[in-house]
Amino acid sequence: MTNIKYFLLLILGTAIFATSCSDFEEINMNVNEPEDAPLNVILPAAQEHLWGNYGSNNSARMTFNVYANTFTQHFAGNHATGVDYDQYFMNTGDEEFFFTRLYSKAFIDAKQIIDKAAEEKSPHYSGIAKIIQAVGLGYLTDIYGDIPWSEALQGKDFPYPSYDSQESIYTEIQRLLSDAANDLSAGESLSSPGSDDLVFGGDLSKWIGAAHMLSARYYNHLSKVDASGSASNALSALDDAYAAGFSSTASDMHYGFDGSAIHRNPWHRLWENNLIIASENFMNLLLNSSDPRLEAYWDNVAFGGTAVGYTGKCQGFGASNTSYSPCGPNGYFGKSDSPLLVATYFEAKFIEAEAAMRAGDAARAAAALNEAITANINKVVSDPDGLARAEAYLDANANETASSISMAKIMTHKYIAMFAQGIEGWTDVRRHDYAYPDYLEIPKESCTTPVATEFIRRILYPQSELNNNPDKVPTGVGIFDRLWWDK
Amino acid sequence: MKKFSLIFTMVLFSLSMLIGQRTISGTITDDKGEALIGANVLVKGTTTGTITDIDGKYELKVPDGGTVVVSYTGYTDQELALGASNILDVQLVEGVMLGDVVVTALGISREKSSLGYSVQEVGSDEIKKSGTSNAIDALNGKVSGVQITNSGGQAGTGSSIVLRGYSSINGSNQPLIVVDGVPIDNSTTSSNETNASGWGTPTANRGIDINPDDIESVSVLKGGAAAALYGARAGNGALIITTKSGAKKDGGGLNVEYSYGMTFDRVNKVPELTEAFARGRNGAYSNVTHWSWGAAYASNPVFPDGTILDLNGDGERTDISGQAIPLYSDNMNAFWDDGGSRNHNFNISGGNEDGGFFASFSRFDQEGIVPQSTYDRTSFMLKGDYGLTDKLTVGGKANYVTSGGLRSNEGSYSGGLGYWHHMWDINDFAPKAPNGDHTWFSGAVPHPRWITDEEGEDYTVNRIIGNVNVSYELTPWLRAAYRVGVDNYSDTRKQVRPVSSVSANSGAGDVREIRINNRDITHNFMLNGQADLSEDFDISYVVGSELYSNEFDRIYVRGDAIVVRGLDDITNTESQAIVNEIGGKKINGIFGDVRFGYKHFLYLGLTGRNDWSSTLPLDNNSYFYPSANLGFVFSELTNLSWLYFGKLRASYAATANDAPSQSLRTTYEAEDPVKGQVIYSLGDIQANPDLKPERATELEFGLELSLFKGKIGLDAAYYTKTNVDQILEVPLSRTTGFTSSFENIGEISNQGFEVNLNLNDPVDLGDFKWGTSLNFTRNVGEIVKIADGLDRVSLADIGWPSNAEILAIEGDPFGAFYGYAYSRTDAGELIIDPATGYPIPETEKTILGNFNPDWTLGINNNFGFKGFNVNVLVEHRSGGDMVNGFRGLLVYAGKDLVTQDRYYSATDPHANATRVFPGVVENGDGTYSPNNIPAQLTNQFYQSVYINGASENLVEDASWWRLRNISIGYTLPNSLLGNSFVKGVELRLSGRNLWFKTPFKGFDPEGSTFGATNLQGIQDNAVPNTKSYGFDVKIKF
Repeated sequence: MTNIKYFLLLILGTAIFATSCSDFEEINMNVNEPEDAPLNVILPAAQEHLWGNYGSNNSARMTFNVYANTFTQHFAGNHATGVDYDQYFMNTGDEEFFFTRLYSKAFIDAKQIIDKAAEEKSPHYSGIAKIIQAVGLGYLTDIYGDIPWSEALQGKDFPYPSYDSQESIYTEIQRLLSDAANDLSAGESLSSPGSDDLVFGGDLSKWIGAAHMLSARYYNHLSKVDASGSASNALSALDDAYAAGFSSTASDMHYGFDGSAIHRNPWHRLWENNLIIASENFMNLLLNSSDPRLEAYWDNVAFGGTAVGYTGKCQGFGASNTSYSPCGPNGYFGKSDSPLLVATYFEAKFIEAEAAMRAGDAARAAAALNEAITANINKVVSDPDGLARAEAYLDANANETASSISMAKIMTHKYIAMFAQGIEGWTDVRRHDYAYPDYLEIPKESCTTPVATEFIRRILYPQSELNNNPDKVPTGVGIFDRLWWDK
Repeated sequence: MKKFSLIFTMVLFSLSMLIGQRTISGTITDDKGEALIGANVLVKGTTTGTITDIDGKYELKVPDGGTVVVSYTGYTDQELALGASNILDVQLVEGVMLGDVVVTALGISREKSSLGYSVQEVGSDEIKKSGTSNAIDALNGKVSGVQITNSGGQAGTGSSIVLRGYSSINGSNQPLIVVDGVPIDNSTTSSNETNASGWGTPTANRGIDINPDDIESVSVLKGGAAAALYGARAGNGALIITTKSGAKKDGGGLNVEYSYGMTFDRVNKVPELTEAFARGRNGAYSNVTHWSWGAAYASNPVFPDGTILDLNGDGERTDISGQAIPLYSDNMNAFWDDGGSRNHNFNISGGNEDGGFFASFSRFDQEGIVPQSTYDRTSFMLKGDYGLTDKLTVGGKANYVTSGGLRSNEGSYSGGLGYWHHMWDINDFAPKAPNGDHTWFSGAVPHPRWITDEEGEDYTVNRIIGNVNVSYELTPWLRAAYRVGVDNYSDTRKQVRPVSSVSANSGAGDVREIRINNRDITHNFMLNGQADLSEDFDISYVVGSELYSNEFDRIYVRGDAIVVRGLDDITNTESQAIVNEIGGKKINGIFGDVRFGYKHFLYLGLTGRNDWSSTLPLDNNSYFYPSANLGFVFSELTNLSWLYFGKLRASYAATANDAPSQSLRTTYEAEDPVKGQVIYSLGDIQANPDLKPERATELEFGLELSLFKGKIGLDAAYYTKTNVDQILEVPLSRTTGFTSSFENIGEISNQGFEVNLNLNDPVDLGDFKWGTSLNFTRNVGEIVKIADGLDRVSLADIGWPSNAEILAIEGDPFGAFYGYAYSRTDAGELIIDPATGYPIPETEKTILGNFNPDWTLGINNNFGFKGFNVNVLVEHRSGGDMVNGFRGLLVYAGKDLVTQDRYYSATDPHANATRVFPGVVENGDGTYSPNNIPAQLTNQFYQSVYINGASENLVEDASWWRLRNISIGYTLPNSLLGNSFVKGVELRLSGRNLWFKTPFKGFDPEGSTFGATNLQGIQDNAVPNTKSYGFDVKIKF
């Protein structure tokens, strides 16, 4: 009896313990989080992370592409962070989110696409992914200068990626764009994007045109480094773009928003809390020249319904008691479903004008400028009052000739047209040392005291890099230091 | 529900099969013949025991030839060999606290005097006196070595408890909670999209489900040695909760108890504001602003021409030009409601010579001081055990708890509360117009009462905690026991943000549904016994195994943009996004514990446990951890009359912890679809397939003394523990493509002293008695190492307005605050901007403070006078900082007291304040001269430099003194009750947090924005705490 008892106990004890560890692996996984995913679900992720909503529907984070419009002085700060940017009150925490989002989301997702596409021989996907990387690199290097790339995106194999020179980043951008054009032209691709491509819906020829246009943009950025080489490279890339079909506003590269509660244009979200609003000088420029784009750019009613007319705020003023014109839903840019402009035909024409001018071809410059202004106005103006002024304005402005054209005219007109495209607009302004438009001046607190003795030239590296990559991130960087192409 | 029925049936079954058998019984009395309630009666050398009931009676099965040990706090214990009689009455003599029996790991009762490690026990009476609904809060000030913080004054919020300092950088620091031998879930699950952070809606730690009235005792196992047998899950210590049970008793009999308690709660501290300035900007009224930077009320300002506004919340905008701008004082205080709670508790217990049972019903209702917040908890418990034969005992327990309520997102109402202008009465201004629209002017910041009244989260938790246990005496020296415990809960949450909610999709509204299911099952098999090896040596031993499994499923559905207004259903939304988190974990463990005793003065305990965890790589998922403890009762070797008891103890333990679940693989994560496209993005965390378990070692020395017949008791401990191979979510440079990776790096050490000093009635004048106990805690933590090339880990970036981060940084204790300081010279003087006269914020962050206190103290006084008992608990926290982010918002808004000194213009008599900041101005050649520039205290200064620029202005000392508890109890004398069916009546008046003193400028610094997480010391939201008055009555039948 006793023996049986012990035996039973032993069995019981063993049985309780002996549930094997075989399901250990299974229980340690979440079936909703796969280790692998197909290209057509990663592609929209990479696009959304580069251009789309920054955060969930509750987060009102703005991209630097928005804030940089205070540095270009299209906008002035209204309150809080908007005023900080307007007054050059910068610290290392400022663009943490933008930086993080590009590397740890858009770039790495694009890298997954490139690696997977190479494996399964789907070059059409890798072409788009390379353009995503090139554009993202362009955004970052134009505000930070040297940034990690050659050792980046390799996880803890390279936990402390070194910073590549801006010069090499520019080389890399061109390599990516040219590889992209090749990949997209491949005759065979196991799979090709369709509706999962949120930019062109799988229209590969449009991507090829955009790749050449972007190549022209980044060549043209080097105007201070190599005036003639940058001009001829840009012009030849533009020729490729036009040849590939990038020859009208119809081929513009946009990132679209559906306007739903969770997918709205960032300007529309900004309009709700009005961090930045119209700058006085820019508003006056528009008003004084009867610019048809006035209504496309600015609302004459503030959020909440207060009528404000078309008034701008003194650059750098700080907080004030008055309401000013916002970029809101009545115009082209601030609707909930307004597109974000990434690479446009009118920008291509402005690049052509500037590059041709630099190359000494004033006639080509004049023709390109006239086309650029016309294309831009035709694209964004729809308000009846604006349309009514368009013809007279075009007659007065889009009729440059080889003898009348000047760099000041090209860059001032480009400045007006590059409204709301902060990073690209700021790059133009810096490349010409804040010379165009001629009224640009250092922001003045209360419209009296300049906030600095120089114009801002870059922003500070993010605090996360100082924390997590302290030996590699360049130190001693200040906001008045010039980037490589800005020397 | 099926599980519930099953356990219920089994318990009933075990109770119904009444079979006779031999037991002993008796009455335990004091030297005056009064019954001692709750005295311990234990079969010597075993874990079998019971406690006496209200009449001092007990029943206990004792093996032939066994010895019974009777003990009671403050009395000398007695050992009695079992004779022929089954009746064993014992009269105890007042004296020493020897022989206290405490509950140790795995529910094993042991004489405290024999332990080689520290265990502190809190009894039901002390828990009851604290008057809180969360059993964890009830430990405040009563136990040394603990750090408890709560998450503010909403009804039913959570509390965090940390034993002996923070020892895990990323992992949980919360101890294991074990109820009646079954580990239960104490996690805090957020209401955010992913379960990652605790910000926003203050969800509770699930330990709140334990009805404090059911608790007999809480044993706090602080150190590694005490908790070693629980393995990995008790890496941060353990709270062993024993619930009440029915006493066995000859001839049967019932004890019936009913108690009722109520409290009145009020906010105990709000920030101090200036009410000198009206709404506006730059000294003038503005009809669009959130700021109170307008005209001074002293200048009798009026609304300017053209002011059209809703002044009373009726939804109508009217022309109020020319009217005086009204001033409503004290909105910050008036916003909070009067709260209160009511608690009914009914229990019935009883037994016969073979078994006992305990059944309870309780209902707790609370209204929080946050408007509309409520919490209720209904608990049923049935527990019993029965001796089927001499050797076979079956027991079981079923506890069903349903709780729920309404709570508000603190982040959402804090903005409106911070900005609220004095020109509106916060309570009279209705948040909702008759047509359902939000009334307040703002398109970005909601009326705070819109949040509390319209946007609250409704929730219901259904939980069953139960166990079935069988024990069998194989031989007099070996007993086998098996227990299976289940803890299963579902948590259903729904939040509707109706149309016109400004923060929800720009007024389109949204609906969220969250469903959480969590199930823990623990099997425990154990063989234990004891034997006298010789006259001098005795030995006791335990071997066993434990199987633990957890399944977790959380589904979050957010429906955006409500289609048909007023139909607040998730199906009535434009689009839905779903996040589903599925997790689980298994741990298999075997353990052993052997203890040797020599002549009742030397005790040696050795334990070992090996665990296999599913969260570790399959080929490396086993880990072993040993412990040893030594108790030396030196008083047994001396004959000093004043030394009643003296013991030195020492212990060493190695513990280990497994990895977070699902951390071995890098995965893709679904995101909200865009334009109908499904999106998967590579996860931010780079997984590590080679993770190893975390290891910790702890060394503890202690001294226990009882002097002068127990008049003075001392229990002191010193410990030092080191946690190595910490599984850290190491932040990576974002340029690696990941934000972090899991690594086995990092080392944290914690050293500390804990002292409990008891003075047992040093004043004893017969009718009047006074006694006091002090407990002191000092823990010094240090992050010894993070990783090669990395000396800090950012745990959270708080952002505007403090721009502070919480860091783990080498050389500092866990939880440093990191942010922007003012520039200073090497000599520490402020560097002043010669253009403005302002100090200059740095552009890079530095360390500004730390949330850990230097030390804490609890002083518990007891006064007795005839039938009255007065208990006064005073607590102190010395040192430790907090980030007062909410004050930053108040500064920005122009409402914080500091902004009373402000500058609009030199000619404005009410706002022309300047200040010469003490500091120096750079001369341009590297030298400095003293500053004498009067700086204008403009809104620009406050908004950009004082906050936002310099985080240091918002890092504040969070020390405090508080009168945690005062209670006056009265027991009706038996003479008054006579022979009625009422056997006893106790009445008590109590107060909590009635007095409180702190230099901290915000709400009570106990309130923390992030709840029971590692992110302590942040008050970014308005998280008020309460002071409360209570009344209790307990009637025994």
